Amino acid sequence: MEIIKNEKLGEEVIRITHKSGLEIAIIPKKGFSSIYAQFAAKVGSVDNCFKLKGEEQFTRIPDGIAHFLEHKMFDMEDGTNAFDQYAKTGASANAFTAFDKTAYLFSTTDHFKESLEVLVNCVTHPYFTKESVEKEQGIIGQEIRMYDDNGEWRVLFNLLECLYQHNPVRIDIAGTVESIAKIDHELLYRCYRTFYNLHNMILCVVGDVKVEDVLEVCDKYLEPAEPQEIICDYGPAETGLHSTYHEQQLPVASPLFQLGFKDNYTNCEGREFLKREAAMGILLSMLVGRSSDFYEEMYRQGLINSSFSSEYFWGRGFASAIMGGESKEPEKVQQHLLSAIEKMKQNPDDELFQRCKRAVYASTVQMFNSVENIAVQYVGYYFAKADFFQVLDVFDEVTLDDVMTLLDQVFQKENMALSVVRPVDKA
Amino acid sequence: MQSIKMKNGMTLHVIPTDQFKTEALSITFFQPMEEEKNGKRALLPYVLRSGCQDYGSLKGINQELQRQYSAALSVYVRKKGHYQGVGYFLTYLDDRLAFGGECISDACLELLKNVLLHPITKDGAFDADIVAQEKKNLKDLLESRVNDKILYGMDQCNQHMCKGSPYALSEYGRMEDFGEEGITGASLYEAYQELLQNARCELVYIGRKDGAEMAAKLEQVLGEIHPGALALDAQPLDVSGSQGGEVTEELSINQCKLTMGFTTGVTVEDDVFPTMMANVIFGGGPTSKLFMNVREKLSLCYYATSRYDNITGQILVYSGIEKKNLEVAKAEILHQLEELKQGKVTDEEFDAAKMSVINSLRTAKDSTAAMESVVVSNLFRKEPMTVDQMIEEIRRVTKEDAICAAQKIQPHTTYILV
Repeated sequence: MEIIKNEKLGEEVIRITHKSGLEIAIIPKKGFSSIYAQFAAKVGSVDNCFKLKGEEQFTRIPDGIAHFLEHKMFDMEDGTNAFDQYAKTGASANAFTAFDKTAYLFSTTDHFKESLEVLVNCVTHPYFTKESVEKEQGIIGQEIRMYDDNGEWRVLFNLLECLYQHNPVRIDIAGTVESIAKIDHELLYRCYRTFYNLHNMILCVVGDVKVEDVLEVCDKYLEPAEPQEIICDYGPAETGLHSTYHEQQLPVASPLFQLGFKDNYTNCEGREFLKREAAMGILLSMLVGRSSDFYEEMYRQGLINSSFSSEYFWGRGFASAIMGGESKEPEKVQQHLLSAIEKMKQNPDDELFQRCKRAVYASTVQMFNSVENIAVQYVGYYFAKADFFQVLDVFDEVTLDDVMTLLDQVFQKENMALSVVRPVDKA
Repeated sequence: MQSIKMKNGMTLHVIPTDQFKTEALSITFFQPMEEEKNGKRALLPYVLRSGCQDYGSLKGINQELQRQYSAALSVYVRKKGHYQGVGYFLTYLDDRLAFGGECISDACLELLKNVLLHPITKDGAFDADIVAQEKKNLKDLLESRVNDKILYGMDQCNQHMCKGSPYALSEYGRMEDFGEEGITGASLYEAYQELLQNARCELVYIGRKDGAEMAAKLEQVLGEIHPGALALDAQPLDVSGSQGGEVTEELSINQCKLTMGFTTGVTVEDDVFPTMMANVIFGGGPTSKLFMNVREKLSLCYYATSRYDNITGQILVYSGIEKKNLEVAKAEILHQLEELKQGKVTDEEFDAAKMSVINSLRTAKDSTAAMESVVVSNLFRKEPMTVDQMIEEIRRVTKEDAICAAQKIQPHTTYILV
């Protein structure tokens, strides 16, 4: 057990490597009513081609399987559902599948230990049958169709398809109705055995909890796991963009757009990654943040509105700087952005840099207001081999030079693509 | 929680806590909804937010917020029953986390005052460019409600259900308000003065500072404003102008959106807790009848939820359904309501629902935005009530109470997007 403290922030994390092989992180939050727990596996929609160390062949699995597995994890062998058990403990439970992780979580204000038992038990005891898989195909089919209608979802995924030639980040997380039809319960077991090995997972608990309670539950339910090495194939190396523009029509009232710059430098991990991410956050704030020249000009011209936002969109094997929102003329926004980039390259502005650094620092500090945010961030950084508790320290190290270097590396025309979703042509 | 009446007629509600890295302050001006005036009042906080004598343009205001450690000043436009509430939600980092001991809170209160009281005006009118820009943004916002098919379906259902009454109005106003013949800098200025004089003003503070100290600071900063004293009531939804029934609207979407509106006649002016429980058992979460049957048993959908508005008494059920399954889904929803009314509720269902409500209320204590929202909703009660008191009331509700309350859930309007 090790305890890492951040005195200035008044926060600490207790890290334990359980005898079963599972990594546990507990972040105490005295005075908070809720406790949030997340049990996550390092597998997401990008992990669609894998082999175990020692195996000859790679196995390609159907798109959407990680998400499908997530849905089915709640089924228990006795015919009940984990939700039935959470109903008795009063916890509010959920799960999500991201590009590079799958997380099972609950939040509760009472009966924490009982809820944790449900979580740990349910995720370590999968139960898949032919009938339950067929039933789920209907539900997930509807979920896919719900997202097909969602302009915000489609505009982002269309951008990813432009930016990435081969990287599986361009594939929809839920797959397609056709791809999920290929999933059967045996395949689900195979994926489970590979990716849900405890050495590939983490349990993160945030709130006013006792460490002993967490350890007792883990001791009760966790069997020791064999260390294993999973080798994933993410496709051939990217040699550029797939395309620079994509447009789709959907019944939206106003055109939506997402503009992205692919970051080709995706090999960094740990503290180096934290620094890159902090620098990117500051850069985006300087370039297109609410107090930037670009934002004011675009807003004044009515080319963007308060729906406009930007982020450093990253995960295992991919990273891009993306921005967008509603706009009647996205191409014009793109042109103005290119000018703003040129202007910034010519005129590094230290006052702007200092102001944006303060702002991004403060936004990061504010994550600690929410037990959920803390857990989500901690797990995300853990899988990137980085430490969330170091995130604030790196701000001191980021210089204006770092930011200008990033601007040169990433914000180049050859890395850029635009995705637009326009209202349906009534013509 | 403390409620302090300020010298200028505003009331400050204080939730003392040292839990967060930030403090929060909201200011809301309430007026009854009026078709001719909603648009102007909604536009006002956006226009004020976009230009101020002390900082110049929007960029100037945003730069000052950024300087104050990423303080945030968001516009609030809310619909509560037949009232419209407009104002701001201000959050800022705790003074102790500033790099060099700066007093972030004082600077932020000063900014709030400047934004509210020093707009950019000329000859009794707001700046024409700013007004034009924000009119366009609000027009786009109204149009974008169409983007979110789930919300659009709910809006349409509500409009049909409450036709002819203020409850049908949008808190953002009408499309024509934001057109060329609509709001002007001068008409907006009139609405501004009317707001400052007549609206009822409520403040909510969540943070470490002493309530009386905060009230004194706010009296100093906002003392020039002398708001009105109108009463806030929670009369149930007025459906007298609507025949109800079923309406279908054609759009080219992949998945149909079904919204069903129900009346209960029960609001926070009565004992609302049994109705709240009835709604949760019916469709408020993964242990509810709608989730267990429409989603899990029949695999018809990914979501089927019911939402209860405790200020109007309205319940809206909303679901995304494949066209061919529409009739089955509608029938099943109504069937589950019947089951509830007939008392077919197991102890497990009831206990799960109760625990989930208590859990939500407790969880609200961990979020400044959620706490603020609870305080504002509770303004419509005859007596103020804290979250802990609400939890006690929920504990008292029995299964029979909930089933009895369910008898009042009456179907009224069904709205379908295909």
